[in-house]
Amino acid sequence: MSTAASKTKSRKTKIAGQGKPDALTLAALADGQAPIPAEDATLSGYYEEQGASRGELRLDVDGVTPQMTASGLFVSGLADRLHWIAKITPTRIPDRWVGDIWFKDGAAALLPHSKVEITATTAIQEATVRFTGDGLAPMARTYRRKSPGFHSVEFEFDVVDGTTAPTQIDTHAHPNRPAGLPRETLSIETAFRRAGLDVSTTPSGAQVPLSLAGADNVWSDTEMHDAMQIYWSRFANKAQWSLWVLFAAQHQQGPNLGGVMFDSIGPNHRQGTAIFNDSFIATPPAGDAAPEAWVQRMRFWTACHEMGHAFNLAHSWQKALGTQWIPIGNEPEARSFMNYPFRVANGQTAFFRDFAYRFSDQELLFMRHAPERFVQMGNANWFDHHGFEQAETSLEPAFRVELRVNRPSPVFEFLEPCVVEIKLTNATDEPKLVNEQVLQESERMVIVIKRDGQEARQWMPFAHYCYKGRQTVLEPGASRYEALFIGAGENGWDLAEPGYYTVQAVLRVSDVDYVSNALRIKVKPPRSYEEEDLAQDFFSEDVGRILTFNGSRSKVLSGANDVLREVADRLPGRAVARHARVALARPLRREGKVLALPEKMQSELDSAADVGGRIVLARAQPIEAQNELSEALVAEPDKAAETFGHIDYKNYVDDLSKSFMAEGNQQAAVDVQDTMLATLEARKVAKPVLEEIKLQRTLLDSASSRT
Amino acid sequence: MLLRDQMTKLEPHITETLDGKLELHFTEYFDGETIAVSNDGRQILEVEQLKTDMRTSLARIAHIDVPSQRVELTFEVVSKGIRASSTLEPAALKFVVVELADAKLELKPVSIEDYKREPRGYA
Repeated sequence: MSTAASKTKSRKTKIAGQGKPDALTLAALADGQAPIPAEDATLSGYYEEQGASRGELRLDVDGVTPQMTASGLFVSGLADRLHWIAKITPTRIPDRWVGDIWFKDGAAALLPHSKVEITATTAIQEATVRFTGDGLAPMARTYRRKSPGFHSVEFEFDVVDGTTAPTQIDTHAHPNRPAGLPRETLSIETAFRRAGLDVSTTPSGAQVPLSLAGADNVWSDTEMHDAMQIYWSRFANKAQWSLWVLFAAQHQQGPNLGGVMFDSIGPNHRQGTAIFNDSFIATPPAGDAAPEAWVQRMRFWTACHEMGHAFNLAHSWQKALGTQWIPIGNEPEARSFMNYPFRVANGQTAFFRDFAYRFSDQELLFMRHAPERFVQMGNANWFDHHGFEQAETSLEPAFRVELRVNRPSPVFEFLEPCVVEIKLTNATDEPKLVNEQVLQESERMVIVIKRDGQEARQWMPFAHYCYKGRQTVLEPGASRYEALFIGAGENGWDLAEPGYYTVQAVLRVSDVDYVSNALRIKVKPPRSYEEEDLAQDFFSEDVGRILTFNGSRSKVLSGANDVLREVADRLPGRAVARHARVALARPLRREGKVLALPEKMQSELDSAADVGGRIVLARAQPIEAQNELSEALVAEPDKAAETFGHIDYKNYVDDLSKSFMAEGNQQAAVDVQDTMLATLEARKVAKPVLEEIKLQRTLLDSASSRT
Repeated sequence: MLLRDQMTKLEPHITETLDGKLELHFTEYFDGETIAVSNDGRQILEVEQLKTDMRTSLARIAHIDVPSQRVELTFEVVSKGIRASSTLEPAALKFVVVELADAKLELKPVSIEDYKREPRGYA
C-alpha cells in the first residue's frame, strides 16, 4: 500500500449509510420511477483503454450514490499490474475532476504519480486521465466507456421444491419505512445495479429437489455445495463474476439461521449463498402492522445480505476485524444490507424506519473500486488458481507451449532440484518467426507454482537475461526447448516441500499469450532423518543461487558450497548429490576471476576497493572437476539424464568432453559422448539431438585419431 | 455448525428436577476457546474449540437440561480463567447469548417476550 494510502488511517471516515439515509440516497431513489439514470446521461462506469495496453478506469462521479472516486488498473507484460484509487472533486470546468491517489496495490513502478486530473466527454463516452505529481513528467491515458456498471455480474436464483424465491419487494408494503422512500417494485437485481453493478440473471431458475438435503429435509453446507455443483448452470471451479442463490426452507442449524453464504468449501469460495424462508425471518414481531410484508422484507433483506457476503462484505459491526483491504471502521448503526436490523439501537423498527435498501458508502467503495481479486466470487489472491485468466490468448493459437519433465512420472525425490522442460511448438502449417531466445527471456514468460492447499506463487528467477532480438524460423511442427530450474528463485524455494504442486507457464510470442498445460508434480517426503537434517541448510537462497548458476567460486557463497559438499558426500545415491557435484565441479574446469577480500571486513557497507579487495585469478582444477562430473553424469547415465533433464544433461556432458579434450584426453571425451548417445537413444530423445551428438562424436574421434 | 462431538454433557445432580431446557448461543469473538458451564458449582457442559464463524457471527448453539424455574449458571473460559455468572429463569427464556468481548464473557438472556417483540437470529 502506498504512503498515501496509509494517510487514510488518520482521516476520519465519513460514513454515509450510517443512521438515517442521506439526502442524496433518498433523492436518488426518489428521482422518478427510473432511479437509475439513463446510461448515456451519466459518465460513471467502467472504461477500457484502447489498444494493446489493457488499462482500466472506473469513474464514479454521478448516477446513484456516487462515491466521487476514480480507480484503475495499469497492466504491463504478463504479470505486472497496478491498481490505483483516487478521491476526486469536481473543478470549475464541467466534467473535469482532480484528486489524490490514496491507494496503490501491485507493481508501484508502473505508476509513480500521486495525482489525477480526469476529463470525461459524455458525447463520445471517453475519459482522459492525466497522472501528475511528485515532480514527474505527466502521463496521460485515454479510456473508452464500456458499461455504466463498475463490474458485470450474473446471478442465478434457484429454489428448492416447495419453496419460493422472494426476489422482489413492494417498498411501500410495510408502513414502517423512510418517509421519502419512493414506491416501487424493487428487485434484487435493481438493488445491486444501484450498488454500481451491471447485473444479469440466468434465464430460468432450477427446481432443486428436497431429497438432496437428505432424510432430515434440512440443509447442511456440504449438501448445498453439492446441489450447487449439480444445479447451478454456471458452476465452475474458478473465479468468475457469477453467483448462485438458493432459496430453501431451513438449515440443519434450525430456525436460528436465516441465511448463509455457505460456500467455504473447496478452492473457490463465495460462489453460493442460501436463504432459509422458514427460519426466524418468517416470524414477524408480535403485533406488527403488516406481518406478511415484514416477512417478505426480511426474506428480501436476507437475500441481499447473503449476496453481499459473496462480494466479500463483512457484517457492519465487524468491519474492523480480520484483514481489511484499507483501514476501515465498524458501522454498528449503518442502515445497510450488511447490518442485522435487530442489532441497531432501538432494534428493527428503528432500522427499517431509515433503511433505503442500500449498502453503506464504504461497502460501495469496496464493491466498485477494490482490486478485483478481493471482490470477485471465487477469487483469491492474484494468480491463485486462475493466474492466466487475463492472458491475451488466441482462439486459433499459432504456438503450443508445453511444460514437461524427462521422466516417466513427474515425481521428484526430496531435496532433488526440480528441473522442468518448456517446449514451444509451431502449431500452424506455415513457418513462423520467433525470437531465438524466446525461451530464455524471463520478461516473456511467467511461471506459476502452486502447492496444493496453498496460494500460488510466481517463480522469480535469480537472473533476468536480455538478448538482442534475433529472429529465427520455426518450421511447422518444429519445436524449441529450454530447461528451467524452477525449484528456487528470488521468492525462495517454491517447489521443495513434500506434496503435490501444479505448475503452469504463459509465454508471450508476438504480443499473444500462450498458456501451457498445468503440470502436476509430486515431491516425495524425506527418506531419512539425515535428509531432513540436511534440508535445513540446503533450502537456502545461497544454495539456490549456486544451483541456478551451475556453481560459484565466490567466497560469499562458500558456506553454500560447503552444504553442497556435505550433501554429495552424505547422500551419494540420491539425485541431489548429482546436482551438488555438478555445481561444485563446473567452476573448477577452468581458471576464473574471484573477488578477494580481507579476512575481516570492518563493515558490510565498506566498498571492496576501500578495504583492499582485489580481483584475483583462481586456478583451474580440471582433474577434480572431471572426477566430480564423471561421478555425476557418467557413472549412472540414465539416472543423470532423468534428474538433470535431457537439455542440461547434454550441456553438462558436452562440457565434460571439452574438459577432457583440453587436458589432451580425447578418448575420455569420445567415451562420454558415446555414453550420452546410448543413454539418450534409449530415452527416445528427438532425432536431431541424436544426430548432433553423433556429429560431435565423429569430430572428437577424428581429433583423437589425429593425435 | 453444531458439532456434537465437541460438546460434553455431564451427569446432573440426582436430586435435581431437570424439567427445563435452555438454548445457549455462543456468538462473537471466540477463537478456539473451551467453555465450561456449571450449575451451582457442578460442571454440566463443556464446549470445546469455539470459533466464531464470521459469515454468521455465530460459533455454536448448545442445549442443556436445567431446572425450569431458576438456575444459576457460571460460564468459564477454561484456559483464561474468565468467568461470568447469571441467575436465569429458563422457562421464561428463548435463549442465552454468550459473547467473549474484550476478555470478558457477556451473558445476554433473551426472554420469550423479548423475542416476540424482536425476533432475531443469524445470517
